[in-house]
Amino acid sequence: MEHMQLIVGMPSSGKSTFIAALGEVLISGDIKSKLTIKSLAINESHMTALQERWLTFQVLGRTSNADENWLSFHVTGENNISSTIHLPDLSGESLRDAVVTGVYPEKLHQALNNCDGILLFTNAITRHDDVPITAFSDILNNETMSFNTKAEVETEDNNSKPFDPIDMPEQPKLVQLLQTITMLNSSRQRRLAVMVSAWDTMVDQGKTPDEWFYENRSMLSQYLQFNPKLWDVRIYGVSAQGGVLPRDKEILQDILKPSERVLIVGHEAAEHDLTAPINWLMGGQSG
Amino acid sequence: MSTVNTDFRCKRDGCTPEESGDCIDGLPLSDCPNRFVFEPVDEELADKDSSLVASSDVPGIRQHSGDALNTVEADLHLRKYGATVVAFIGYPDAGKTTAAIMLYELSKRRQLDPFGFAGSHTIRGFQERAHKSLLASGRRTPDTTRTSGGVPVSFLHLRLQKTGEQSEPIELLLSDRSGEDFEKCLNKPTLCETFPEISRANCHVLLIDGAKLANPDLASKHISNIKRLVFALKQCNLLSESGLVQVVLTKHDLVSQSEHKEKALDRFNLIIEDIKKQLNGTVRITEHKLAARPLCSQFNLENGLVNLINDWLPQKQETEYHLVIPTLTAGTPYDLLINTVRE
Repeated sequence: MEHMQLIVGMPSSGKSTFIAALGEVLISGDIKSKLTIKSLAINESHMTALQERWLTFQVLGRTSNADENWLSFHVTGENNISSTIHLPDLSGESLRDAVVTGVYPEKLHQALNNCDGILLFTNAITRHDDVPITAFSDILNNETMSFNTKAEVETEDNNSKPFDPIDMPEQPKLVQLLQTITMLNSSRQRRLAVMVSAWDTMVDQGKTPDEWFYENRSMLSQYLQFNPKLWDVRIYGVSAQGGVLPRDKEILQDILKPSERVLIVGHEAAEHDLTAPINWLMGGQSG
Repeated sequence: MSTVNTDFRCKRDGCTPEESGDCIDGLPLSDCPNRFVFEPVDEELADKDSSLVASSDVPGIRQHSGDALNTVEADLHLRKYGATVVAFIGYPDAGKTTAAIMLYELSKRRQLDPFGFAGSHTIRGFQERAHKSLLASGRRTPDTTRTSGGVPVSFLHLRLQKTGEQSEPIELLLSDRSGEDFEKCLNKPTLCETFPEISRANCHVLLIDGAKLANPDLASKHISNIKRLVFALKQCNLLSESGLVQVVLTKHDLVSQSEHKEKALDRFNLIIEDIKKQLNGTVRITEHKLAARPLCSQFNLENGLVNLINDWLPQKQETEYHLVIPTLTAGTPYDLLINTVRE
């Protein structure tokens, strides 16, 4: 059985790191997981390159357009049914550009149209890209009173940054992307796993991924809440890197099994089992 | 390239005079109170999904980018999804665009209780207009991107839904027209007839600049201009079309801080009285107040924005239906069985 799952998110949302860690979880077999690898793909070069960087504690940088690649995993589920999952390692930049311009490369367009389920990444650390000036009015007004004349403030305001759709906040871009997907095919409900990356930085807050998502992604969470006919949603917290590099490198090096570096929280996923959300997405395939 | 040939369309659901040539109420088409003029639509475009228009010059497949809709796109949107068309009417800097973007910004931030954000086909359009209110713009004082004069009207789409209950989404198309266009109507009143959003609107929102009402130097002129505009719209039979005129005092927070607060509010009340007199019971008139500060929950002053939306919801009509079964005296034995049903 073939499954087309998509990994999407804006730049630096943790997509490639997740893919590298997922490869390690599947190949090593070090931990008990919902899915197990059945055979290797014909071409594993992209996967091995990602995995190597992950295993040697290098921060996985952004995926450039030239680095984009389509990965295949031949897996067996708990029910012993074999499946092939196709996961593209997409450049966040090319996805972002398509969303804000409305021009989608044909291959991406096809993937959006045909996908069975989606892993949507949002980085827990990216929280303040949509702040109204009024939230800081008092501070700005005090500064203005102290250091600037009214004319200077006006000049400063006139020289402010013009609107560039590339720089729109993350949530409007993600909602725009999801709406585009539903416009392509609104006749069926899709499963969507929202992956809140860098979850290790949120653990101390004692919140569940659902609570965090509700509080910190109000636009996206409302859009999904009000469109249940289009989206069946689960929220996961994930730390595919295991910590902050290079700061936590030594701590991570001490962990015997690399798969145990990773952390995933939500919907009864076992502590390190990155295959859990993919297994859930596969269950929702409705053609 | 062919076009759909319509002199006008009808706002009533199910009434399609452009196809049938008949009015659903049996009125002569020239007397139809629900008619509106809309720009002809490119039929080739209309036949397609509006979101799937292939581009010839850029490689890739073109989807709608989220920009504000022009009148043709708005018409396609109405046909496909339906929506309440809200026409914002007012002079430059009255707060028309600010009111529209505040609906989007407050709903997406969960600050418009009980309404929540359920989607928008013009996200980029909203973000562009709200840009100067965001810290990311690098500005110190918030502002709304000015709607340029001479640019055709555009429409912003917003889908709201009431939280905490099973309810239908509220589809809104909010007009965005330059205030300068309304200024031009002072000299050429019939110009307003050419504004498609006004003839098509389900609701007219007339914005009165509170800061001007609180300024003794500007108040009288502003009031006179408002009266002239209302007169022109009434003369062209445009306000009675929607059945609802919402008169909104904007920048109410500035009015409250002004030493001329009482006078400004008295002036606003006089405007309301005048509009009621002019429209003479032909439409429902409601009054509202909004604050000036963009991107701030205080904008929804005393729930002003929420009350605006509540007026846009379809009015519930509590109608009792009684089934009347006639008594048959003739017919086949099978027909006469109906009499036993009543017994």
